[in-house]
Amino acid sequence: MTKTTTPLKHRLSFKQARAAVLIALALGSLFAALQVRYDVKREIERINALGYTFTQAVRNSAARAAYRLDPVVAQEVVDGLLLDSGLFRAEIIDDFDDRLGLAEREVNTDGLAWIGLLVGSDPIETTLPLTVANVPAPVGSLTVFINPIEAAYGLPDRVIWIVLSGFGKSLLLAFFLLILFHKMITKRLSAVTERLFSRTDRALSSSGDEIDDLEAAGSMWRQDALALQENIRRNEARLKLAANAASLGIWDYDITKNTLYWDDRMFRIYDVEREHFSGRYEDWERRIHPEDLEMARSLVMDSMDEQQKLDTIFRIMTPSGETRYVKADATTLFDARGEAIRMIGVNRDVTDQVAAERELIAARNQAIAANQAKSDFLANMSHELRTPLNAILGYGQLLKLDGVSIKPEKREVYLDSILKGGEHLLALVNDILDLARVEAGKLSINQEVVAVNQLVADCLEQTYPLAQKRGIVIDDGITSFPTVLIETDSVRLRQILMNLLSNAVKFNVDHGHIEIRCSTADAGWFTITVKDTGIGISDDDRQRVFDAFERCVADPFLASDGAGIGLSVSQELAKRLGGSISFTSEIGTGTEFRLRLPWVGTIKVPADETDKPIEALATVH
Amino acid sequence: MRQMLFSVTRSFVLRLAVAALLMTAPVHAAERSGADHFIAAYYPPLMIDGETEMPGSSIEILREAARRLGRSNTIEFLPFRRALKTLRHRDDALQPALYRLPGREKDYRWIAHTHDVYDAFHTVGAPIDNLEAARKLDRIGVETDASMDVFLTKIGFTNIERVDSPTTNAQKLRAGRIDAWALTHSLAVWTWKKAGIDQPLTSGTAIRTAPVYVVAGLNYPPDRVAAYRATLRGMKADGSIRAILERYR
Repeated sequence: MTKTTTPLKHRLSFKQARAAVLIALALGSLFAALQVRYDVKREIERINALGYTFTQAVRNSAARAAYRLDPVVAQEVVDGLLLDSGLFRAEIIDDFDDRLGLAEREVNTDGLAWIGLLVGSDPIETTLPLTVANVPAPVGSLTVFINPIEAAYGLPDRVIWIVLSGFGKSLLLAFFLLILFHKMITKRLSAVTERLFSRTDRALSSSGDEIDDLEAAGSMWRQDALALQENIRRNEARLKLAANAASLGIWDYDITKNTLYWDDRMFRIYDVEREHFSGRYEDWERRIHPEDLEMARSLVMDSMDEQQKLDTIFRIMTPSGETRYVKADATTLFDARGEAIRMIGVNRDVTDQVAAERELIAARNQAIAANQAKSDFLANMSHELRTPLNAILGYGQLLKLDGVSIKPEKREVYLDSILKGGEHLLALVNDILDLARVEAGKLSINQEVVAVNQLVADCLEQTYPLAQKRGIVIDDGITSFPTVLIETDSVRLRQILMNLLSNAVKFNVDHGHIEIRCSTADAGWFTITVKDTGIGISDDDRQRVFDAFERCVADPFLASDGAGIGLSVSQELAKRLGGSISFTSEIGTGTEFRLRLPWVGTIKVPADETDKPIEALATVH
Repeated sequence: MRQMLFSVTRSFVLRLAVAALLMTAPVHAAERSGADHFIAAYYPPLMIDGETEMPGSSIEILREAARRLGRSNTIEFLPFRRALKTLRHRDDALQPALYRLPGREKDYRWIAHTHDVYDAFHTVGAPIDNLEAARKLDRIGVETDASMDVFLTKIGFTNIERVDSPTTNAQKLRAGRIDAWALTHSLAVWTWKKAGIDQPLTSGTAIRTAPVYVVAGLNYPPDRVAAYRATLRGMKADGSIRAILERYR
């Protein structure tokens, strides 16, 4: 705006002053006229009452004088009456129509004739009959004559005073109102106008009138405000859409007043009814998961103290007890002194995202593990396959090269080694195929009634030679047990038992001990335990016992024997049979594996014994 | 017994009737041609307002005269000036007592002389019998505007103390606050007695004498003037007036 000096006659103050003075004069005149009119009316009433007042004042004295026909007293009375201004004649007449007393004087109204226009100029005569007690008729009369112009002797001064004081008061009031208006309105109006103009880039010029300037500034600001309002509305709409699209809840925390604003989304995220939210910071803290509260609080404090942006995920507890993950982003506003005054931010429910990420991590870990297993498998397989193949190929080449010259006892050894390597290779391939089938879910289960005792006996029969080579004693507690029938897959059960028994031998110490038992103590389950006195499994290896290609032994020699997939296959087979394998172990003492299979409780007993519950028979054995 | 009750009842009724007649009598008497209206001013012992047993010597004299003439009368007490003026304006009014002075001669009909009164100096000690002796006194009590006040002032007395009431001067004389009391003799005696003062009042010789007349207005009927004059002269002659005056000494 181009600021110009407004001529005095155009300034609002001058206009106000002029209007105030004119109004004051007009009102002053009006009020003065009304006051004069009222005062004259009162004066006329006073003058008319004056005669009555005077006569009443001397009534008793005049009556006594008239009754006694005492001219001296009567004269004193009328002389006294004439001392009062306004009375120019007073007389007492007795009831014989004789004048007892008379007093009169000249009327002087020089220069005051105009008062007669207001109050009248004709003399006012007032006669009072004079009576005394016990005398029925009046004993005389007192008559006074009043000149209204003289009686209203104080009126001119009062009229002048009323007019002048009226104007004076009006002007004084106008003056004070002017100062008041100037300080309260005009000055501030001008200041507001100047501020409004100073804050715009528009080229505006003063019209010379504060009101017009203010109107122009107001109009300009109104246009700007409307545009700004439109922009704000659009931005709010965009923000709302964006927030809705991003499922963002917006919050605004006034730190100085400790008031926390939430939008509708925030209430949905926290699953809180608006009327149950106090709008205080503490109410927000109350909804944070106790384990995350300290962290969240600390981050908020850091954001306020160290001017850091808040970016975190924490858990909240909904009123229904549900735990949700919330991602919070916020920024803090500071005043000129660097004091935090406000925090504005968004919350987003990332519960599903966190769950998905966790699943992804788990899947990734699984994939990594699978990849690692594959690598291990390939590494192991290359070794496991190559070793027997090398033996087969090596002894085969020896037989081919020295086929004729080789001694028969050596040839027998070579052929045994080739056969042993082939068998080992076959067993290895079968295990791998089984594992593959199990993992692929293509392993078929053929349910049949199996006599567990017989099956265990067969497995022990195959294990005894291996045990005997190392001087290991097997304590058979099953073959002598009453025949127990289980509906299961005999091939898979045999495979599991053979694995457990071969491990018991393989990881046992020389001249060790193997104990095999069965139990029906758990209702609905048939449990076979295989306990060895081997080297045991460390606590670190317990989690990896059933993993494929894992060898949980510290002894490198033992670790190199086998592909490490036997227990893994056995566990999977037990699961497929509806059971499980578990173990307890102690380093240096041994390991006990427990195979649990579902069992309905049928026992086949010899012909001379009646079928009876196994619990009853268990006491026999 | 029955006869006695009847007698008492009859007596009571008759008394009531008489009382009623007496109460209405002045009005009826005034309307009759044989009624006179007495206008009096308070001037004891000649005219005493409010007294029925001793209404004043002049009033009793005039009443006796009226009675002898067979005329009824009513009495009205007024202030002195009003009494005189009323008398002048009425045709049926008589005043029992008025000093016959030159200034009043033409205004009234002087019906009959009843007696004389005199002014004197009164003391509680040695009598004051002349004006020269009175001039030597320190304080002489008079009533304001009374005839003695006017008279003594006119002849140059300056040792005068004025009060409004003769009773006040009586008390002042008894207390020794004035040396002498100048007043009409009969009035002074009557006031002294009325005040209940035990001390004897000493009256000097007459300083002035005034004749007391029964008067009427100028329009009072001449025949009635003549009748009253004759009757009063008869009363004077037969000592009736003297007897009445003696009762008030």
